[in-house]
Amino acid sequence: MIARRSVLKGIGVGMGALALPSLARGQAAAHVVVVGGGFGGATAARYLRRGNPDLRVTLVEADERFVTCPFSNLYLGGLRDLDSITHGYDDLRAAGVEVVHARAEGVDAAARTVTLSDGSQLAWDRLVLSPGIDIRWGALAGYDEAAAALAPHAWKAGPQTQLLHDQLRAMEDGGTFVMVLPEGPFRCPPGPYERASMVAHYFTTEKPRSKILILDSQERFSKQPLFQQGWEALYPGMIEWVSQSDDGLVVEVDAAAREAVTGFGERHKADVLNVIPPQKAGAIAEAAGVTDETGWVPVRGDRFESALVPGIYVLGDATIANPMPKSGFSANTQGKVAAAAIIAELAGREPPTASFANTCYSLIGPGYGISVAGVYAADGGTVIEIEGSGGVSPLEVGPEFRRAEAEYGAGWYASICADIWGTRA
Amino acid sequence: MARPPRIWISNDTPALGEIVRVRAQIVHVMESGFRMDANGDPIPPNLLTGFTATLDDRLLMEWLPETAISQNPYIEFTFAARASGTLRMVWTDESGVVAEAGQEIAVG
Repeated sequence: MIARRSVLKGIGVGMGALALPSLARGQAAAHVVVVGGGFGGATAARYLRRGNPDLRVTLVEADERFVTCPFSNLYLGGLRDLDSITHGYDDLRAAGVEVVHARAEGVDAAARTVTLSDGSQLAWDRLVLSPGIDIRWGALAGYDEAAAALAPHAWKAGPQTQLLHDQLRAMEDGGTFVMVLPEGPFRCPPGPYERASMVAHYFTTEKPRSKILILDSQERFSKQPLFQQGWEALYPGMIEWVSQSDDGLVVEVDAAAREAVTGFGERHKADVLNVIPPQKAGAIAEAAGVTDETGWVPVRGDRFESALVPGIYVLGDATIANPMPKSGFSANTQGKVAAAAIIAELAGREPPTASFANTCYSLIGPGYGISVAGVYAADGGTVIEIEGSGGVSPLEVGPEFRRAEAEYGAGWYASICADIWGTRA
Repeated sequence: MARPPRIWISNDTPALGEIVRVRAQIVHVMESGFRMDANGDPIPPNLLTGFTATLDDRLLMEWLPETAISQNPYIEFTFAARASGTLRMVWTDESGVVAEAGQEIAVG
């Protein structure tokens, strides 16, 4: 009798303990779903696992291989092959991240689920969206998906980049490469001008009678004096930049005729036409209800959680994070801040103090690099730049300085790709 | 003035009632008066304060640019072509007319 009573008592105590909700939660690992395997999402997935190996982390990414926008201009310039800017997910799998190759198509924030293109559903405790940009098709008259097959944007790296590369190779010497640039905000503020530089490098080596015409919706641009100094030094007379007030604003594109029409009626005929169109946050952000009327995603700057839907964190180009630019490096540091905040929050702690950094290297020619850098913090919910923290490369320096910055840029790319995808050069 | 205003008009021989689109841009510094020069002294304001578009003596639109307007202001507007006449656009600052531009409109 005595033995049986103590056994029953023991069972009673055990069941009582299991029924305690706090203990039950503590025993089941929380599940974080990360959508998007680029600079922001792949960073968050890795650092979530690194910060708490008990977390279950699923990375949802449509493509099995990721081609980076950073350094894709070097591919256009003939300085890199596509393989060297393409990354896989095996190293993330080895770090314990479950990688699912599917497209995320819907988010139910109340039920905390995400629906994938294969029809399956994933339940999450926290959701991270790092969807990059989507094109605002039709926002520029004449520029839709069919037009992009003739006049590539190449502003999402991959087949579009290859198309532009091949068109430039097929162009005859003496042709004109026309670039149409959007109003901000857009992905990678110095990117268009690095692209012009890299194409100028290719033309100078292979097609020296060719010209580059940049039709800009902006009045000035990132690192402008440095770019213009570099163009003058390396490619004198090859690149013409037309500002918005000089009738650079393009209002219509005829992709079949390879023509760009400006606001004041000038028709520019191109041999190769590159249209970098107006952009917005990647589609899943809108489906999740985290975008505002601008098409971008407002976030709490101290953790990169959506300002509109709690529990959903958003990273990178899709977010409104200025003064941080839309860059891969920005997304990388935002991914680390969000991962630390999620780990802390799931453990019932306050997130650590946020700190961000960014450097944008641009290559004007082989051995000729420039940069802009900044360090950022959060002031309440807003991202702010730390005064005096960064800056741009000096104008009055010799070739050794530019050569060193070109090397730092290559080093930056190698180290950030090792950090994110585990790619070893 | 660095150069005359740039103007573009969708159709200067519109049908009666056709919506005509106009684009106009002027080169102007639009100095707000809020900035300091290298010595820390305030840069005096230099702002456009008015813009009007008329068709003969009929006012089509009036705009009052202020400090928040960027340099080289660009404006785009539409009007319904109800009569022929001279489309006249005038940019002003506090001391008077800065620039003007005109275009004959013949409603067919």
